[in-house]
Amino acid sequence: MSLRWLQLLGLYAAAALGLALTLVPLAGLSIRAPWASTLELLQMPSVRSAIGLSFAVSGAATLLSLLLGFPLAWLLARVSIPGKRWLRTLLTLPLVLPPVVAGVALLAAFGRYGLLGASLDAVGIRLPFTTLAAVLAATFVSAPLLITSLESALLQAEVRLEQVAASLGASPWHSFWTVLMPSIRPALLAGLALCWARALGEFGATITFAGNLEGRTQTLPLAIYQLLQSRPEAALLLGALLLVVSVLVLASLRGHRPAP
Amino acid sequence: MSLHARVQLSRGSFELDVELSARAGETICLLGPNGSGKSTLVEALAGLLEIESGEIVLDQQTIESPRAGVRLPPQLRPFGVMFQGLWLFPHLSVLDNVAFGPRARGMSRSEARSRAEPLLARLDLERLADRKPPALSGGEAQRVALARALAVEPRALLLDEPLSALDLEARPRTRSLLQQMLQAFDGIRLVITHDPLEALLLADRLVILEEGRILQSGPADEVRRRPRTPYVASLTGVSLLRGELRRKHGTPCLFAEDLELPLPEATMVEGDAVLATVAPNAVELSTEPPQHHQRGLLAGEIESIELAASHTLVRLATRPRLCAEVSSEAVSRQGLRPGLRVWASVDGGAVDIYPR
Repeated sequence: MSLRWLQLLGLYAAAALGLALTLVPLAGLSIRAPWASTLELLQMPSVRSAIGLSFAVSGAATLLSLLLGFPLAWLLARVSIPGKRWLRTLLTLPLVLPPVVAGVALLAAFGRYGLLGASLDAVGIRLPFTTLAAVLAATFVSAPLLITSLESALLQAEVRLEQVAASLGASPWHSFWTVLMPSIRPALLAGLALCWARALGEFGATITFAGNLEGRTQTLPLAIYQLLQSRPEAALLLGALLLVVSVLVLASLRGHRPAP
Repeated sequence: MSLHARVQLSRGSFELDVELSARAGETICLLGPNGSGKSTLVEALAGLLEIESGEIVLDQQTIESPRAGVRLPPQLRPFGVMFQGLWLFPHLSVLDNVAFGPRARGMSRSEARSRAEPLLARLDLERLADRKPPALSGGEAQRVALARALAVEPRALLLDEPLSALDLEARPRTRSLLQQMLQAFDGIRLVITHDPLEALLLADRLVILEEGRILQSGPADEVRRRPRTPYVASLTGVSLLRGELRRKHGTPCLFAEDLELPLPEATMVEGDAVLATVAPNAVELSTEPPQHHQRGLLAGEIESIELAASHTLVRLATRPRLCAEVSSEAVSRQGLRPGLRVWASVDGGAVDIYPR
């Protein structure tokens, strides 16, 4: 065999190993999951509350990311401010920060003995181990996905079109909805989908900052973790259900996936 | 109706300082080379750039005046602007592009569409009403942009390079359509272009802009016949001389740099500072010093040679600079080439002289 063939064989072998690393666990999850007992599982109170809580927490985190992230993305894309590079780096830090560290950081800020804990305590707000804490943890780790996606869309949108709209009599508000929105909509939807998927899967920061309290902070990933010890087949099934959700999210992006 | 604008602003090292008056019913063409500040002026008038001093007044209404602290935002200015590059809304149909202005100004969707439809008909766009801009040809997109600017029923039309998006073949037809639309528009009409032919065909009045300043303005015909700067002269292909009229040995002469040009006896001479234009066909070239001295003589090198269909233009690095028209056959017979030293003789009877 020639050297060229050996090289090609090595390439294919390495690629196959890489593919297997992704594929085998997913296959294991899909095959071993007791699909037949789906209905029975969905009737367990702890599972039902985890599903409900997961959708509530991830939905709230996505909404909060949008409300806080849009102004930040606008600032990064459209306003000239000093230290923009540093601000951008800072805002994307949660993407690479270990989630458990994010949880510890949130505790250090909002915990009873945290930076703002005493002040919050004074007005009667205790964040740790509440549903709100789970929302904050999910927002902390997932908002950067929406912000980066929005920022690049705002950078690519042609300001000239908005100027044309203004010259035709459009108020900034009218021009925002009729000119800017249509051009950033794909990136916005993609950003929202990624943000929501990340919030739905959030584990480390949540368990550290919000705890694992059934009905209050126990979202699906936390429930899976707990079920793995008591009812592993239930954990497998819930995991497989989340896998289906992830596949649906990816399908909904349909090539609109923004560059990180 | 009249527009008066005095616009002063700077962008980096570029300074724009322009004063412009326009009346309804006349087409003003602002002509200048690239980088002369034409588009900057449009952006200032449209309110996209803030002026530093001066004022923009339409009839009695002050639109912008830094001194008076007045600055109408772009959406409140009664201008219909066609920007260079057209900038149609890519996600809207042709009909909705044209209806955008009326809709933005508060009309209902159906009212705005019924305002847009007659414009589509006038600009021969009806069958394209449902198309999106990416599927339009250059000429179609140009007409949509014009319709969109007209749909807001502006008091002034500002068209920035309205024909530049077109390939050369499509230009004459679209230009005559543009001419019709301009004629039918009874407000103020300001057209910006870098194309002299376009300007001369469209303009009632020409304003020449160079490096942020107005160098010359007036009725198009007068500007064409009486250029005051080399740039304006070059638009019609003539050479411009700056000099004085004096008598020498009793003969009236034009003195311009190295040139001493005998003029016909009847020429009035009062020691005046004058400008003169020399048509390229009034300049003769020879490779030997010519013998007849009743013509003005200049020696210098050939700077460039431009071939046209029926003749050839030879630009000379003489003082003053001249442009000569020679037959294409003469180029090869005399061996003309850039860098060759030649003698140019100018026919004093063919020079057009006017006060500076």
